Amino acid sequence: MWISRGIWLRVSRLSNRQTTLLLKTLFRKDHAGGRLRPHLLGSVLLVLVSSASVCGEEKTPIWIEKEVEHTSLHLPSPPEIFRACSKVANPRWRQLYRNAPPGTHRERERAAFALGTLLCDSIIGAEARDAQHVRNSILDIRDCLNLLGLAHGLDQRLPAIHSFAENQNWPALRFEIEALEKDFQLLLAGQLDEDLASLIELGNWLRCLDVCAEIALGGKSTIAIGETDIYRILLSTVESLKPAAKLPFVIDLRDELERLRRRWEESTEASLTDDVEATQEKIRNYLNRTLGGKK
Amino acid sequence: MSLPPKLLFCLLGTLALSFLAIAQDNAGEVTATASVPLQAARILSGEGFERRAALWEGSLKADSAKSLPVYLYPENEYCFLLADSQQSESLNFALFDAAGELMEEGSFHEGQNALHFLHLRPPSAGRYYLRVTNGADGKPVRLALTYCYR
Repeated sequence: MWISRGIWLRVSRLSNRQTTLLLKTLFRKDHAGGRLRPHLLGSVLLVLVSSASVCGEEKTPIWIEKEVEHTSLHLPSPPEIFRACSKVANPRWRQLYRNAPPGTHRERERAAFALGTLLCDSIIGAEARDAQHVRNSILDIRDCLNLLGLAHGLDQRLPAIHSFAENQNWPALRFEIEALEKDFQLLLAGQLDEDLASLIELGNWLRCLDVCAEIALGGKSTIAIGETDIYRILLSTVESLKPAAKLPFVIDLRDELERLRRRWEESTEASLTDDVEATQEKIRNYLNRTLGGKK
Repeated sequence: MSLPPKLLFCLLGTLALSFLAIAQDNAGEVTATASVPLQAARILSGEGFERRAALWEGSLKADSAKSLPVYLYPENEYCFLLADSQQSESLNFALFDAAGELMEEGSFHEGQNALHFLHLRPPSAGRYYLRVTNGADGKPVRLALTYCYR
């Protein structure tokens, strides 16, 4: 259905209450003769358009959709989020390290998810300007890659990563780590393992949200964790999984993300502290039960 | 939206790089175009900008548009880098929020030849659509786009 941008914008501002009133008017019995009157016909059209706008709240606006190019720029990178966090809070990055890396997993899907969290750990090391932590994370990443049969995927960028860590060139290091994730995703896509590529991205994001939640406990920022659009995008990634969608830890992830999305959608100023604490607890618990280890 | 003079100076420094980056043969064209924003991003890093490793490459016919979803934060400052193979003057941008409301539109800051820049700080956190349009009098172009933030 084609809807002009003007109509879409006007109708998208209808509240749920206005939409309900409209629906009530529409379905009220017409005692005059049981036929739809012209003004009701107008309402029918409006409801049709508004129902499209309700979908549009969660998706791309209809008039843009036909020209959208889906790119990997649709989500910010964790370093970009950490940059925003560091402007509103003053994170002590070393306190955000995990005490132990995720355990070793034989299941390839779980190993891919763990790999994503480790990529985020190496970014946290770069934020903390801690070359040793970056090196340790890279060793753990190598273990996961061995299990995934992708150890060669690290070889090309490893010298640069070590060199940037040694020379404390943190911006270049952050770029290399994001590029490393893209490399792994390309390699996996080449092997028709798209699910594993998506799980790396999801692992990276869950650890990023974990860190953002911890920063938010200081009460200064709800960057990333309080944004329902982030949960929607991650949920759409989970829903795009094919064989991996049936795995219990993926079903668990989808349920947790959905719960968090709903929670933040209903969040108010009064419930903010509770919402932040609940988010931190849910994400931390999920990572612990999925990957083992405690912070 | 105005560029600080120092930044503008750095952006102009990319002219020479863009000369080098445009390949004449079609096969190498996309890669060459993609290398332009990356080269420019290296120069921007001197201004404290960090670049994304992600990149969009594609084509745009005359009198058509592409919308790229991006997720931006008001705490950060962004510089979008767009390279095109035709040194086109008919490329414009519009930025829409997640609801499809127009936030800003206009022409890119022109580096010469293949480079176009857009410098912005969004009003709030969330999804935006960067719409790139090629005018009716424009030629079909190959494009590459990425962004830097600080």
